[in-house]
Amino acid sequence: MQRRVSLFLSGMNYEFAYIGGPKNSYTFQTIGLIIYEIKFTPTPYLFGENSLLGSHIYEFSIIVADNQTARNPAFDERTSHTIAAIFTHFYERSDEYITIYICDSSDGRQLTRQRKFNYWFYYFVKNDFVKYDDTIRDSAGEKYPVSLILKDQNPYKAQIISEFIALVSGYNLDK
Amino acid sequence: MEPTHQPSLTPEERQANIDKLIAHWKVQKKQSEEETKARVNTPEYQAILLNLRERNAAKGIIIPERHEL
Repeated sequence: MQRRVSLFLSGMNYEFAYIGGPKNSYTFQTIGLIIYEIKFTPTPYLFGENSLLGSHIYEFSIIVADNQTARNPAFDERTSHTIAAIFTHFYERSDEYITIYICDSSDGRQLTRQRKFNYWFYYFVKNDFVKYDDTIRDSAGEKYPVSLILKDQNPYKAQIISEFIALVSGYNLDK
Repeated sequence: MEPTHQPSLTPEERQANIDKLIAHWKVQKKQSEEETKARVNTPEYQAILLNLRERNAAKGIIIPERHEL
């Protein structure tokens, strides 16, 4: 909790707005005129349709809504702080939320995304949260690095991670 | 949320869940990007950004106008 307070009071993050909607969208704009949307999309099917965990699972995504520079967004520490603040803000609703982050592999840069995401998580977010990383493969054999994030005090932490490991390892057994 | 004791899924069921997850994710990702890009220039969205610009300015973070970049 102390870390969250310091994030908001330090002035290190951009101001952000909660737009809401079915994907729990947030938005903010940087001094480089990049507009980001951060979304937490309900993903109830991860552990199967009948899992009681389903209603607590969200897919975390970072979308560049507008980029007037025509260049890839440069590193901006305030952006990292802002996404961390949004992440924490979302989790204020419930300690039982579960977030999954899937690295896009369509351009072959999934490992770079994973590395950046890991850096962001461990540098800006890690207090109060736990993360479990693995790689899943679809039927076509395409690999997708994934991270499962939940509050450290989630009362079902062991069960959730166990289900996630079973999901991933069960799938990979025959590959 | 109550503790669950769901029967273990078979490898085929897990495979189906993964495939479903990835398939949903790909569709959602594309839709989500299109939705976002479509609404970012709406008056309502621009009003939100203007409000954020003012709040940022109040704490010393100046977001430039487009022509200033």
